[in-house]
Amino acid sequence: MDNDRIIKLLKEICSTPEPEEKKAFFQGLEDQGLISRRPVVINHGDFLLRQFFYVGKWIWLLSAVLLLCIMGICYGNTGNYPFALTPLLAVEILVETGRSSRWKMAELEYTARFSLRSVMLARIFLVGIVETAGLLVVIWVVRPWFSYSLIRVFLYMMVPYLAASLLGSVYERKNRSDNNWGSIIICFLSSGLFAAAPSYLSSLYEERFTVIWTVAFILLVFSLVVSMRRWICELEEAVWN
Amino acid sequence: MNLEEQYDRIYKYLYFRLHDQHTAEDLTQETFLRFIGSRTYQDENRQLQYLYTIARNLCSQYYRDKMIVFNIDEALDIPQLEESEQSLLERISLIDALQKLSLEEREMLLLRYVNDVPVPVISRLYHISRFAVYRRLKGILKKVKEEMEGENG
Repeated sequence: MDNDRIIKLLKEICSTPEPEEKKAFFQGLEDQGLISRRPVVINHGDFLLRQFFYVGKWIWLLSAVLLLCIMGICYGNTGNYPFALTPLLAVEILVETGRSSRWKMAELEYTARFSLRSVMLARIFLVGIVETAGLLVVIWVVRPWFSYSLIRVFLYMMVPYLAASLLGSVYERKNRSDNNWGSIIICFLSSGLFAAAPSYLSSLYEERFTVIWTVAFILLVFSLVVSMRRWICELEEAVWN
Repeated sequence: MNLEEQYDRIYKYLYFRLHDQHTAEDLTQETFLRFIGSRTYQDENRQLQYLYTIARNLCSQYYRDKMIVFNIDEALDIPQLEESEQSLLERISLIDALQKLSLEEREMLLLRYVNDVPVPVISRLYHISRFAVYRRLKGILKKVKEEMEGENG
């Protein structure tokens, strides 16, 4: 038996009773003026704005609380420990990207309209950009409370944050799951590592290592961009149902 | 996209997933109301995919709410007695072969060959490449063919 015969048989066995309410339904739509109302194409700005409001409120709230904590600890002048808190900011980005896997139904409908790639990129971009902007403001505010230059405070804050984001994104890419526990643990471990680092590497925050911090920062930015790009590309191949 | 034409296809798709004319029609109407109710869109070429995605999600929601297990025996047309014996046998062996497929495989066959959904739309619906859709359809047909030939000896 050839494929054409199978397809013909398939069409035959898939006969359905005629829909009974079709005419009345379309008449109802016409009467209400809905028949000509089709979804309209929106521009990228509107799309980003919609995504901004779609990101969970608690994400923004937690980011604000964390940034305030960092500022508070800096104000309390507790050495280099504030720098170890920035990896926790990465938790929110990773949790937000994981929301798509957890809430399959609504997300599927949403991504049918806008493509998975654009939704994920928009969310990563929005949460990332807002958190980075917040962190930059915090760096500017807390700088006078440290004996370090602005660039050094910037590096000490950004490197742990980027390291946790990179490790978390690599983990999420390799282990696609319905929860983000793996990447959350990675962020907390990174935070713990940077908190403990000065005790076994006392010279870590000395000025002579600024070049190493700068190189680490550049490498992390580059790796993060590469990792995110690969992640987004792989999402196109993900089968959700 | 002709909405009235798509109504029949969405209805057919839902009928084979629910095997209840009234529920299928209710969900078809809900699909169209949701589609019309969504004011925004980014890519006009995705409208068909969007319709099927809403229908599929409503169907899954229905299954989940009612705790229904899909039974393909009930969904497919029972062979009529006046048909030739050969045709009857072929239909029965096709139904048996379809039963051995996964829900996703059956759905893909239905979308492509019964509802004539274009391959690019299916590829976006399943988030796989067009090449992968062709490959899977070919594999599913091969599987069905082998099952049917195996049953008929």
